[in-house]
Amino acid sequence: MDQIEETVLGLEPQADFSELHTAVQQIKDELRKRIIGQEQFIDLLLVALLADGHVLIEGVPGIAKTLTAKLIARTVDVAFNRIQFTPDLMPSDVLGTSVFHPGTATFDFKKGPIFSSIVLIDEINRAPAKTQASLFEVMEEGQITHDGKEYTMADPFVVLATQNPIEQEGTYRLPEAQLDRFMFKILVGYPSLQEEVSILEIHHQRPSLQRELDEIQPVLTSGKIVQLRQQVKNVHVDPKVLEYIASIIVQTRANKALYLGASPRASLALLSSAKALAAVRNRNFVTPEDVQELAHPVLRHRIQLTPEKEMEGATPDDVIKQIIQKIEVPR
Amino acid sequence: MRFKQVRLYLPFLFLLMFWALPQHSFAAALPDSTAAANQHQPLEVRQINPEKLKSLQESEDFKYYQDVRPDLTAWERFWRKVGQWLNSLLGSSKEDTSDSNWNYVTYIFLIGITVFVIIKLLQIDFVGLFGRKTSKVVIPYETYTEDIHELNFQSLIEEAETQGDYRRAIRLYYLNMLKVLTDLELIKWTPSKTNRTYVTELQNNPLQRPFAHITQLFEYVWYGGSALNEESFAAVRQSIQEFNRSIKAKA
Repeated sequence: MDQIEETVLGLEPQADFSELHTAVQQIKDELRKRIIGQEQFIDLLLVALLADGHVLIEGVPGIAKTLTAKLIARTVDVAFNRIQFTPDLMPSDVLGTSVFHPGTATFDFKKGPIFSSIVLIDEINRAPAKTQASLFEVMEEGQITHDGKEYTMADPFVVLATQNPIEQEGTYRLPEAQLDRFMFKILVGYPSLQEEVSILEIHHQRPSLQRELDEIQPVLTSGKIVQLRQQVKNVHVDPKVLEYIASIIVQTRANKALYLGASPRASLALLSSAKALAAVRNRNFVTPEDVQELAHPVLRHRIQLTPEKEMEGATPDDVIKQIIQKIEVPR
Repeated sequence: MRFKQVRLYLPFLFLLMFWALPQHSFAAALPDSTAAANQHQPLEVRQINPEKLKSLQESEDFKYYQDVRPDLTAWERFWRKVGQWLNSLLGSSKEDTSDSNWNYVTYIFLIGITVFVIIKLLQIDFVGLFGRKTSKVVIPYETYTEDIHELNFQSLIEEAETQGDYRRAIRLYYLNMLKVLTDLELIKWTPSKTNRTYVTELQNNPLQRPFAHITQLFEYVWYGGSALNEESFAAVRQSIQEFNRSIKAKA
């Protein structure tokens, strides 16, 4: 909603998201130096960043999942760590471990790579369940408990995890409890023909691409992100839209095509992400359009199809679409 | 030298003792009376007592050649009866039919399983007895499920304006607009569609831009939660009325 229309209506704006909107545009401009296409993917990553959510990125190898996540981290001036998940990775390799100092006869906690603001977990589904489980507490509560002592993560703390589709060799299905902790599951597809041509052109014509990558400038600081997140929380949500969100979630629990419906955590994720999306679009209220758009990335990894539906070749997105089509938009 | 000569005779001495001692001991072990009795009394042949033998032969404990089956339990008797009944239906005259009866039960069970699997695979849910019955979920909140083709917009808008309920009045104006667009087959009305979907459906139509503007106003009022005063309501209403006039002009 721009300023002209608010003036026409004679109403004062409820919140000013121009700063946030500008920052988002700047990040996108920086990313476009290197990333061709993937607009929706980038939008969702930024929404998750502003909504304090973790993101699971799924796609076949070679479609710039990791690169995009790295670049997003680079446009934000915060600590960044990358963890490559492998089948032999142990929880202590992620969280940290106690080291004995013979001189003082004491144990000191040596923090693991999870202690960072933006953590890129590459190929998360290559680690076994034991290591996946070590992420439960840190992803939900932003802290870890070691030897009875709590260690709090920095603010912001965002996990961006990439994974290959589970049909790929050497991968494990992530536990439901962990999947539920991701705000979004973003499916990244292949670029279009035109985008593919652009990718080839950019690599052919600009041999100093790596140097350009290094020149990507940070747009936001950690303090600014925290401030913008507070603004996002002030986005107005009408009770009718709240009820609309709730009805979508409730329908997933009663749908015959689903073995497992969405949790209340999914409702909260849909709400907070819809608020962030409205703010990114420079709007101070949430519309059903925002909810519908985010229902797929919020719900697709939290619901489970019945075996019969899986045999039919249905996908979670098909069921989500059907559920949305059954529910009347509050109008 | 004398010691060497003695050592030469020692084996012979040992053999002599070995021969002489048993002779002496056996002779001591046999009493004279027993030896005499054995020589004068005839051997007595003992006979088997036929009565004892008969009683042993008749004893149930020693009938190893018979298959003594334990008494049937009530459950077994039940299945035997079922088997006999099935046999009577199928026309069999065998008396001991327990094995064949069990075969019939197995066949029936397998047929039942096959039918069940086929029903499940074909997604036939005409009975709902075997599957998980999904409970109907009642969503307890106010929904706006009016059929826009049945509403009397004129009177409802007048009523809302009279009551000073400007948000509701704007909503009714917008719904009326959607009805007109639907009647003109410019959009396809479906309750689950968002307003932006209708904007998209007007693609390549000159009405799209003004409709997008009106939609933006409606969303600001309806979802934005802001209270409208009379002046701002009049401004929005004017925009909507201008759009309605342009629709009629296009039609």
